[in-house]
Amino acid sequence: MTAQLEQKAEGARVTGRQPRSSKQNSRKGDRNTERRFATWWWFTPALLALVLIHYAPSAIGGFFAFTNWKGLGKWKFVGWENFAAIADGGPTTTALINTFIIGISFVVLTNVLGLLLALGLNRTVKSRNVIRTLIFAPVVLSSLATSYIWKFIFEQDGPLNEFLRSIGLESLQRTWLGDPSTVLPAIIIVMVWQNVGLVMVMYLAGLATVSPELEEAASLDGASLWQRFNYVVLPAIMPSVVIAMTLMLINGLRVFDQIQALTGGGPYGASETLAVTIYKETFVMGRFGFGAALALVMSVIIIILTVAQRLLLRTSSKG
Amino acid sequence: MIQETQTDARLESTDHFGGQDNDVMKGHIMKKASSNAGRRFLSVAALASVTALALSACGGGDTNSSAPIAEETGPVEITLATPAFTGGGAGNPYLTLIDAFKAKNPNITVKLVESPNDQHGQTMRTQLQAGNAPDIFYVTAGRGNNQSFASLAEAGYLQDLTDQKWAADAIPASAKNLYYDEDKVFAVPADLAPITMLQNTGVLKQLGLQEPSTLDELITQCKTVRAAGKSYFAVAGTSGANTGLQAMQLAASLVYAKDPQWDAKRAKKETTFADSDWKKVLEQIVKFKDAGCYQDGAAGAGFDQLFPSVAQGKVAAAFAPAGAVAALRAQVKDGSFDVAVLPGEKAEDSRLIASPGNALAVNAAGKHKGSTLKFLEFLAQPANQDALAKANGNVSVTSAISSTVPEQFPLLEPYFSEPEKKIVSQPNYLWPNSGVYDSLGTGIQGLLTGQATPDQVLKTMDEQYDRGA
Repeated sequence: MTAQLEQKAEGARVTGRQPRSSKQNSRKGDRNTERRFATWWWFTPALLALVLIHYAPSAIGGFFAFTNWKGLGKWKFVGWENFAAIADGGPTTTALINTFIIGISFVVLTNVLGLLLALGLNRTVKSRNVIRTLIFAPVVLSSLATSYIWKFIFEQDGPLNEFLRSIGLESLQRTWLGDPSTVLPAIIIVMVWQNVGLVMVMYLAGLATVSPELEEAASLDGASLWQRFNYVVLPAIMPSVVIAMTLMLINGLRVFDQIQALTGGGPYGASETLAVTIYKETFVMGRFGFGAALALVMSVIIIILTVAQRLLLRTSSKG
Repeated sequence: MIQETQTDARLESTDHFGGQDNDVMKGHIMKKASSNAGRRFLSVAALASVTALALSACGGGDTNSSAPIAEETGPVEITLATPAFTGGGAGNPYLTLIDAFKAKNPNITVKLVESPNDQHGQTMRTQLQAGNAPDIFYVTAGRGNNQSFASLAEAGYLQDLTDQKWAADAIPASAKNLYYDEDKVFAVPADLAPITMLQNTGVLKQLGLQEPSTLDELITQCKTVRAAGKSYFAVAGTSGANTGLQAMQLAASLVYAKDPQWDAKRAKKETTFADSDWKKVLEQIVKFKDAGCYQDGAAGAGFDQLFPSVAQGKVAAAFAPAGAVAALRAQVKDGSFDVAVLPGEKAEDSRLIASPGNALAVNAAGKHKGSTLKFLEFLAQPANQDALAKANGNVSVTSAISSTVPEQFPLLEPYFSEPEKKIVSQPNYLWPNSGVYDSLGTGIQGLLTGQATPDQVLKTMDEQYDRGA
């Protein structure tokens, strides 16, 4: 979000400037209009594309949330019926809870691990470039393809259980993706594994702006490692923290690929999140209206949580 | 000066995304859409495009099926779309038929297009709405899933075939309820896939076991197989289609043996899943689980692990359509595989599910209907139906029409020789939406993990059924 806003600001600075003329002040209105017209020219095509490709379909989807469209044929306007069905609970409540569990665990784990990795690989370590590349590699792989590989790893007689048997920990063997108590941790592990590299890179970029002299000065003044981190490093990398946490929260809340590939929402809905429910209701059961309503609810939830997180981070960074 | 004016105006009119915006964009000049005129323009434009697109989306399905169908003599290309054929061998079974058709009609070229199995239904729906659907494509009978022809027909996307005599002739009397939608015909059956147990008969022989004739006998055999370090069945807990297949086979003997018209009763709301013998079906699955009939980790097993388990002799059987045995036999030359029917509580209760559910339908908006109907008529001829069934390992529709026993499945003889008594329709073709079968499949996974009870699963099935078409 911050990135978008800053981009708009950047764009603004480039356009719209006209050389000052020596015309009278009464022509100020004309120049304003001219300037506004000129800026409109520049971005109208892009704005049109954005509206038609992004906002208009989203709006239509939002409209169909109030109908009982089945994907083809006739449909009727049903008002708030779909939302009432969502509020009724049952499977959608489980989906909501799972969405929060996965989303929040994902945000916390990727950021904590990413930050630790970034701190560890910031300086000193000789082979840090190689290690950074290895950690970042999963980010560029297809999440669907890697999920299928992880599915194989988690199989009953797959590599993980085999490994546990070979080191004598047979008691720890599980049906990882078929046991409701282990399925969410398994999915979170796959998601974190795939994305921690991205967060690490973001934090490395932020840490690059912290001058070593500042930390040296702090340690000379007797600050402990934790104090150095908390009072020197952390405030300096706050923008990176904001970006990383916002992006990971949004991604964590709307994850779909990994869950669909690993479990399809099973067992018996234990790993079903809102995104998976939306897919199932819309494309498997053909309830496009209901699926659109769910998608609308999910978007609202993500917006609310993201704004809340931003406010929280801003107050903590100012304080 | 201009700068100040603009910044002041911004502070008044911007809707804030946190007050941070002012910190970040201090001194920035552009106001963009924060001017009233700009905002109004955008909202009007958005509203117009939303309305336009929404109206065009609900348009769909106005067809010209009443226009006369002309015979075409010039070179024509038509497309046939089917799910991807994964049986190996000579490839998609339609290819040989396409070549035979081309020999007889040199001016018509049929192009075959395949889509991934689980996406074929959605692909067809999208293409039909977009107007670029193939001329003829695979559908399933009835209305129980997203490949079913009934909802497509009701939306007006399919060509009416009622006045084509060869189409009516191709529909067996026992399958009329699957193919006639208010006395109209929109699809023609392609072949029959009996739903059976795929057995590794070598495993049974090795353990000295005979074909079980009752469910209790099967449970005893499960324990023997377990003791030998194997399991009787391999089920894919994560695949609702596979667990549902097993449930339907149990229902064939536990529900439909006593009441072959149960689905018609359910449609008239004279019964529900919850207070019917479907409860026995789910309880039987729990009994299987407790007796160790399923492989370890069945709840988390995927569909791709089933056939290797049977092929390698780790399990005695898996649930699959009968045609899959041909693929198994082709891949494992020295194994012995066969199909069998799941027994009932009593030997005489055993029933075989064999519905002509695979079908073909014609696009109502196709450009070459004359040639397309000619091709479909060709496929509907008994000799060609036999050829198709031979190529893909399924049973020819002609067997259902003439009550002859398919030669590739001699073990199914007792069922095909008395079809009215011993063969039942596939239940999920007659259910109003795909949610019912889906909740059955996921519900069984819940039974395997212990997350759900039979009553809970049946309740969900009833809820989905009552949501209607």
